[in-house]
Amino acid sequence: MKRLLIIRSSRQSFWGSCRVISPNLQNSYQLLASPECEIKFFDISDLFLKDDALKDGNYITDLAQTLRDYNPTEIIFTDHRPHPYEILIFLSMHYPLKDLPPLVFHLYGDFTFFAQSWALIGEKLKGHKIKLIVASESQYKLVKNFSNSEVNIETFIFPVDEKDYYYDHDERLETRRQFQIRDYEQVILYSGRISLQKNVDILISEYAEIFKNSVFPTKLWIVGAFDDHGANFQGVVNYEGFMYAKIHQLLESLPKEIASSIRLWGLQPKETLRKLKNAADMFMSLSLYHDEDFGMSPAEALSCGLPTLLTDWGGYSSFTSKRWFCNLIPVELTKYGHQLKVSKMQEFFEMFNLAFINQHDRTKWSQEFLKEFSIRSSSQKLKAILDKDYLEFQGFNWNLAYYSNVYWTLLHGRQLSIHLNPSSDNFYAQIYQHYISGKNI
Amino acid sequence: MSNNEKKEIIQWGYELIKNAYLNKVQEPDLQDELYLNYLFPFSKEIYSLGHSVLLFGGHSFKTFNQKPFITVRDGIIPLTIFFGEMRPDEFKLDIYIPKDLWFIVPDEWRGKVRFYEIKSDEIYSAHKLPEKIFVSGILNSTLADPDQFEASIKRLADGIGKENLKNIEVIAYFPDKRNDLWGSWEEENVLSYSSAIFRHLGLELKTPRWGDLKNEMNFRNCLYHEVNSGLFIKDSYLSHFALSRGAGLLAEEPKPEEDNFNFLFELRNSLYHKYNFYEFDYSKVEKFSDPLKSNQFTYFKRLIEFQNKDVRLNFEWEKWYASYIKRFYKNNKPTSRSSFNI
Repeated sequence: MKRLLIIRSSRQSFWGSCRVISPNLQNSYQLLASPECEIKFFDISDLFLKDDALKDGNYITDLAQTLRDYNPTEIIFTDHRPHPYEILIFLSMHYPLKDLPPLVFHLYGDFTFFAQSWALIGEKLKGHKIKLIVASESQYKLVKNFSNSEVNIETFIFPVDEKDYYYDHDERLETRRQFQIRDYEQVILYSGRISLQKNVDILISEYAEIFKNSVFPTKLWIVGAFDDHGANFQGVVNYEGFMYAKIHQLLESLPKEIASSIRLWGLQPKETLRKLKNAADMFMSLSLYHDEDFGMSPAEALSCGLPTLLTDWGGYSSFTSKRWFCNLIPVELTKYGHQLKVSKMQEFFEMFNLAFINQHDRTKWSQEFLKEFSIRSSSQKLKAILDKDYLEFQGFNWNLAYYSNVYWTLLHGRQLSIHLNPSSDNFYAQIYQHYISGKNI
Repeated sequence: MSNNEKKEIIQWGYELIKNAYLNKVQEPDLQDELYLNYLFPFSKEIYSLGHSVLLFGGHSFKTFNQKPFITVRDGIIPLTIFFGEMRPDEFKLDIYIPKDLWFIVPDEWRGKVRFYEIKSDEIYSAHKLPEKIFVSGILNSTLADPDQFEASIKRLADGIGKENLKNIEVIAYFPDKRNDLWGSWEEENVLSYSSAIFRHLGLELKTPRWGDLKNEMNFRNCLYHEVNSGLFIKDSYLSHFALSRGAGLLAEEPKPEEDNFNFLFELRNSLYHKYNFYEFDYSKVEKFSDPLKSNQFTYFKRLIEFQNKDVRLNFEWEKWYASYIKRFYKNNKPTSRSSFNI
């Protein structure tokens, strides 16, 4: 009989997507509970050290005691914070690490951000039985590049809650009526953070270029909060208000009829987001975010059966399939930076118009996607991964140590980096070339 | 802390702000950082099409004069020093300062200086209640005396209605401060501040850390209230932070001097808030009286400079300067109709 001990954060993540991913993932694990598989959750504060010192918390000693009492067959870390390294290093004072059962780590986009911690964990756990579960095929390649062996790496794409995101034709009609969208008008939707590397400004410019002389009445809806985190590790620091000013200025520069067809919705609750996704006709994201390991917002759009156009970048590439409508914009890493084949947007739009998509298509695509990525089906995938034999960890290679060194130096240096600014000729390419799949669907 | 380090800290008050202009500094120096760090996160940079700047942040004239205009975020003290130490003909650009501070503009600067204020799209009151209240400010008797602090919190409670507050979640963020900079905790009436908060806003407060707060993206249906007398920073980072994430401000009674402002234009800073820009009709108010040219100021400044030799005495300098300015404007209101209260 299996006894899974799932260590999770007692507080919501500050990342919007992780606030959705984490509960969905835990729900998938919860469904594994059966007479043959017992599940126990252990909640730990992301500030467990401070809480232990200042309050009545005894997180680490409690965890050690739980390990002795519950005697789990596997320990699973589902959250990105607190970092498993922090937990394990303090746990080692109360419980010998070599006595721990096999360990499972779900990796997030911040794997690169926490490269130093992962490099340290690699040393501690060499020879221990572990599984590193990554969130996409691209992340698999990226982590493999940092590892001595890929035998410990598994791919598991995070689930979507089928109760939150699905296609509902009546809701589509109602929402379009509410926002006065006529039947012949087409709505392109982007949802997600509006941050530097998400390239929402390029999306707007290209939209304006394509539709300035178009006979098709079209709208562009942009849903999400402005985010001025910039790209710290590349030395690009944004100040509060920069992204809004940038988009605002761009809209001001467009012809009035184009600018008036673009709507900024701001951050919306998930019910409204689903309505907007149902009401829209296409989803587009030109993100080249450096840690785009997955893509919660395209996954939610595909759950609503939306024809989707994404960059061939990071986790996005894993969403292509002939079972639903998801195309990729080719990405190339040149000496001077990323290059997007934006003409693909025009092609996508033409293809969309030729396809005469109806409610049956949307329903079918939504169902097919959820068949693959719902919490229930994901639970089965998790079971298959956990049932595989655990192999001894061979450790991470020099790439990770070097990368973590460069990354941290630059993160704190706050200057433009010749190593980590996108180029085919530098260290960035060695790491992030794995984010380009080259798939042509 | 060594005596030399203490000296650096002491100097930042008048001298630092003054020198930031007179030296026409090219790079922010260590002392500037002390000042900025002390006022963190209110002093954090913001980006605005209105070219928002903090004057003491180490800007050079060259940078300023490249812009068509600047929107100055500073409060009374840096602005008073700025107007006292600089000449308007050195600036080609227009300078916009917070609207509430119209009375500190000297006569010779009046042609150069215009005004702005922050406006949120959402305005909350007892008739339009928020789901949450986010209240912030600095617990520090230099920046807000306990009485002023309480008055500000009471204004918030009265504006929303005490009964209504029971159903509203209150988030209070009062940043930690280094108590070695401006005196010790007991001088700062921490108990009085706390008592005011609990009496007026209730006991069920959430008090997040900056680490959590800074990543919060959603302040929709939330009222933002800042206890800020505007002595050092009037247009704070935290207000932009909350308002650009959807927060609104408390409805305010129109001020008597409102008639003297003529609206010029507006600039949006986010989906949810903007700057409104104005000019002021000075013909309707009395002549400016300069707080730095009063005999009392010269006398106390000399006294403080003399005392600078003894480090222990001079932790009071900034506090004295702040209270001097407060007292000056209480006694020398530029117009009998002014409702300004610092």
